[in-house]
Amino acid sequence: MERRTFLKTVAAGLGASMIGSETLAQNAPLPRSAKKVIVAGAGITGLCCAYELMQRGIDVTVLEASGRYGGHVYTGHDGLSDGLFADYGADHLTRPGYEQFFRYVDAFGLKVVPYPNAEGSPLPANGGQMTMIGGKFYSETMLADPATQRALGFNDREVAFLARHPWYELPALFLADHLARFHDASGPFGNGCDDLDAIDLDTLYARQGASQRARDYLGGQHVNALYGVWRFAVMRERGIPLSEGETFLLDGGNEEMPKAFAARLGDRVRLAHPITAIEHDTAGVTVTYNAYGNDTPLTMHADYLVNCISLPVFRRIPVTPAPSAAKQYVVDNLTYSSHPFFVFEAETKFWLDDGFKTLAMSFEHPDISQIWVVPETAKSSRVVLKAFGPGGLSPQRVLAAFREVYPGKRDTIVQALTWDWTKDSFAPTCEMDPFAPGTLKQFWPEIMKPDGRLYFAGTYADALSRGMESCVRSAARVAQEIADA
Amino acid sequence: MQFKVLASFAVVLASSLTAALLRAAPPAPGPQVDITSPADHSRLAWQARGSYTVTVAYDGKSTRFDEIPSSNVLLAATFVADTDAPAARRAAPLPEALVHVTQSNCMGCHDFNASSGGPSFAAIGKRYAGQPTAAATLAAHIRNGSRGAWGSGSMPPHPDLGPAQATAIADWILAHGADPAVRYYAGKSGSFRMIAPGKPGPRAGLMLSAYYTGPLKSGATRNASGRNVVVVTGTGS
Repeated sequence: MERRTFLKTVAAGLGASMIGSETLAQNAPLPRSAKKVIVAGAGITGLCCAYELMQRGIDVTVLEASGRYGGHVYTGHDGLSDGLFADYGADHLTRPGYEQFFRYVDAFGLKVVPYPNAEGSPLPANGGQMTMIGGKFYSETMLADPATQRALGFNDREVAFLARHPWYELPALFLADHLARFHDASGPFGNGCDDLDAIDLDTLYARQGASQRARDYLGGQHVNALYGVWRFAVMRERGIPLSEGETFLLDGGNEEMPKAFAARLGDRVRLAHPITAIEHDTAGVTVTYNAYGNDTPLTMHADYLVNCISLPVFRRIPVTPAPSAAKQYVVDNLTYSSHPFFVFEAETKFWLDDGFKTLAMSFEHPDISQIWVVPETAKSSRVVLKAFGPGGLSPQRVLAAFREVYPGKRDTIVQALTWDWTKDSFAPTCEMDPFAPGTLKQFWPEIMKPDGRLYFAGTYADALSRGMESCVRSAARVAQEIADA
Repeated sequence: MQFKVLASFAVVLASSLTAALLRAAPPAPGPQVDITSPADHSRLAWQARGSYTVTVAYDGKSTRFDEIPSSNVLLAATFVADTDAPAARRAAPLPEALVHVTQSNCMGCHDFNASSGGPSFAAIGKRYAGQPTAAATLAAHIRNGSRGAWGSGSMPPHPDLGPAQATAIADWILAHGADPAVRYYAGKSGSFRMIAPGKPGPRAGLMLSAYYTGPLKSGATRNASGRNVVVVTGTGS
């Protein structure tokens, strides 16, 4: 595809979706066109892409290796009482920032539940957040005090800024000049900031006069500075605040969305159908796969294939002929995050007895960094908490760490659980990690491009990799590109 | 004195009994490891990727029913200059460090030659090459976890690995992680790449050797039976 056409399609983004014809599709599917597409992977991206293709009357089949669909969007009930549940993968939606996702929410009649402090995101003012710094807990009021800020090491310029802004807006203080130069957020290059590809975001903050305290708070080491600035530019364009915006989860758990797509796709989704080889040429794509554990290889031919499998898993499948060197670089070098959530069930809101408004705390303990409360969606007096801790730890160890650092008298936690994604053969990864300094040219825009008749969608294949929204955006974009091809 | 004689007699009796028992006990059978694809003596273009499938049966358990997890299977693809030479079928024994790597959760985030949740072993080997304290640094990262060494992600601690095991892994990564002549692939099925360290000759190819890396019964070895080595000749250049 020509670069200009390609960027235009990317920019079209939301317009590409065909959700509007939902009712029509359910009652009288559009006549199937001559085009046939195989979607590899029934995670949220694959299901959404297949749905969008189906809406366009395209004959689509989803081949999923695992015995369940949903991939890294997974709502677990096991081990919890009263019908309580926990999302072990995709945690929350934001508004603004999830425009495409909310269109599906509305079209499918799903309900959302406000979920403040999701993954430790900022609470509205005076929400009761507690932050541990240097072994001491600080309330929001304490952190807003200029004397405290100076004592922590913020410089005068930062203290003056923090008198008017919350901490999470600090990037705006250091990146305003660069963001002002960003006139076209559809790509990172050509906005007068290309030289930032060579350095990391932490170095840029330092150049812009950030104190060590501000740099520690902002992070940014090993994060490509151009990628970082571009990301903020896209967020600005999409109206996404630095706070994350308002946060929500789907009533019943975030897996309600994959379920809604799968229900509409019906027998187009084939579970336990792992793809073992892909061959492609200018005429089409032939996929070899197994069905339901049977070793006899089967083949399926199609006009296009959309890879919606995360790249570390996708690269186990031989592709013939091999992808271009540029595409292979992306497949071999994109780094992903994969972190577990630790889930606790408590019998009561024990923190109220200790005088805390809510349990929204960040810690410096090596085994636990954050804890927050999941909103009540089941009829239960019990409550689900979620915590961040390093992968590979047992939930009991993370609970012990919580008990060490919790500043109250006692808790009523009765259950501690986790889901070890590193042991998941088919969906081990979450989102892509930021690009490393000096590598953006090798990734962009190749990361968005098809390789012959193989298309790529997933959280990484959008101008802003940001949770399930980038999954559904990239899915709808690719569906439109194939419809137009 | 009488006691001494009796004691010596008991020692002799015990040792001859043990010897008899040792002679009588059949050696514990090793794992049955079969590369079911690709076919032996098959041909594949250099740079292309081929599929592989391995089955393992051991101690009444099988990969077929996931009684042996896929993570306990490792495939090595070793460059051989002459696929017809007898040496092309002599697989090296499995490095003990890779037993620890696959039995812990390393492969959940790392791959041998490509990025995934963390950097590849090849990239780690390259970055730390020639640094005198590298093995100690890496062993400490493995045991205690690390943060910010590569990106925004963090490496969790591994209390399941002892100091000697962590050092063995660190040593292996530094010595062999970036070896262009051998590539490893974890899992009972997947793909391997036809890669040569230099320009391959017309008889060159890859020796694929498969290993069971899971726990062994007491006294058993990893010496496997079955079609655990196949040779694939490269075509083109």
